[in-house]
Amino acid sequence: MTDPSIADSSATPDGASVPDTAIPDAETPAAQCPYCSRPFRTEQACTLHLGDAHGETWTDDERAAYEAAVDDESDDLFVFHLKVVGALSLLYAVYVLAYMIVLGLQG
Amino acid sequence: MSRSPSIARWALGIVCATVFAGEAAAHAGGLSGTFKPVAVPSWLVVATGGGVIGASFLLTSLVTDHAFIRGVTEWRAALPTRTTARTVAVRGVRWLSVGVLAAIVMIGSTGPSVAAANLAIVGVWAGWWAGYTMTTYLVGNTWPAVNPWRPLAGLGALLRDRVLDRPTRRYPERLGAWPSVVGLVGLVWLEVISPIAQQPRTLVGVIAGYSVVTVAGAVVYGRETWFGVVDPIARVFRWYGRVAPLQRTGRGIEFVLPGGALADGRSGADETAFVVALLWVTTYDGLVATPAWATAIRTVVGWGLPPSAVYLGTAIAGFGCFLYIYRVAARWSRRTADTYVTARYLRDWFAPALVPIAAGYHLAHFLGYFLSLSPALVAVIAQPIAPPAAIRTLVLPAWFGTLQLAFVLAGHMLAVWVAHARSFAIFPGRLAPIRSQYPFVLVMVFYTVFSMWIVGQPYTQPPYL
Repeated sequence: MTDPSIADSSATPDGASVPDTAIPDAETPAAQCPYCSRPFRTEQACTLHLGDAHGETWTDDERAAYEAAVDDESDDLFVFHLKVVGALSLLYAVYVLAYMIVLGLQG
Repeated sequence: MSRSPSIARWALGIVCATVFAGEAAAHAGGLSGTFKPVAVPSWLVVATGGGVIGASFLLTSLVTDHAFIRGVTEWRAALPTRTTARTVAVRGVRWLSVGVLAAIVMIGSTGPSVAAANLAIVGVWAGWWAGYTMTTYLVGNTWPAVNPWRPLAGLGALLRDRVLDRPTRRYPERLGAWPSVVGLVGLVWLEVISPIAQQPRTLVGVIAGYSVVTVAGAVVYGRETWFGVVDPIARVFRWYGRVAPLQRTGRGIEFVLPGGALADGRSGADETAFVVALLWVTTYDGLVATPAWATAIRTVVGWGLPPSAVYLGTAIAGFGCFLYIYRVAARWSRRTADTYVTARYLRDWFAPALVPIAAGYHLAHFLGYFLSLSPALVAVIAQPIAPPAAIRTLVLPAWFGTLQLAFVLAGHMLAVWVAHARSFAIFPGRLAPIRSQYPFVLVMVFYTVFSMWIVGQPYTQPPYL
């Protein structure tokens, strides 16, 4: 009959596979995953990737490096979340003001 | 995900508050005379929509636990189904659907010529394209079971084997889903320019044409290839079905959380184009009925271009424009996420997140249409040959417009969540996945504003048709 792989191409799950990557000619990747050879622009991204994708097979050193990287990222994430809360408050304030002004002008 | 309900309430709260403010003030004004009725200007309503999408992205960015996100998207509950019962039901329904198709063709060609009294028009537009399509993304994709062209193609295949004794031809793989992209844009263009929503005879002609192409194609290339790859209608329902809570798997039927079935799997560039086309055609369908469109098209036709060519040109150009913007967003996302993952991969990876937007827009566009025509649907189904002289339709309350805006917003919020889950599946850590979403969220904010503007426009008959 027909090739089943093309028969239902919208439902082929391969989420676990390695994404296609391309490295610009003038660049060398800062790090490469030793398990799936995916290149990364920063050492930290590679370390975090090890924990997310290869948590079952990694070495103790990699685990220690991962935990340190998670700690590092947590600080950045905290600052980022402060900005998120700030942006949300600003958004809220702008809309409340906009509605007050518009409805006030009409009333 | 835990934030989504609160976002939904917040969004609904804002939109309702804004629109009901006018009504409440009007009632109060009737009581004392000190208050005057106020209306929120439409620019503020659509700007609020854009703000809600931005806010829902900011709120989902607080959910950064990989395991939690996976837990939500991969959560499944198997529903008990009996295999024998299912087989019997599917067979029965399949032949019933052929009967319905035959009835539609028959009544369409011989029945009353008034659109609202003809089973073909009301059945196809209100019953099938509005009502049935809603079930595919709200409940589950049942199209493979009820598609009437499948058993017809089965009969054709039987003839092919018995009489001609020829094997199926191999489908050229490089074509992929592209024929269905062309088919989808073509079908919607045909729906807009031809009177198939008003004249039963024309509709029957289009159905007959589609049937011939579909059955012939399925016989030549095999049913699974045709309905799995080429047929645009089956592909629309398959994508909509992935939004739905009920999913058919190898083991039976599973219940998933909203967007759960969209959070995994990657498809090719042809599928991405199809998803973008799906989003575009739902937009195009609404866009042609706005006053601004009517003005623009009159100007362009005034220069001497034939109207149907202008409609076709805009249908193709709009699709190209949507695809281009999406590609630019994917390229930009590569930079914001600071990654080596290719822009092409990102484009295909995030495409399923667009499907809930199309579904939300479809619901906004067609729920009112379906409800207002539902008494007519019941009447023509009960008496298809001699329908009652006065066909009733429901008059929807004024707050229904608000509900439509809420559906558009809900589709976008689900899309934000799916994109969030997908970004966490592909990028390491917690900041890179969030940063990868910036361009897509920005595009979504503008698209929300655009589609809410369309939904809020008064219906205008598209000119020259």
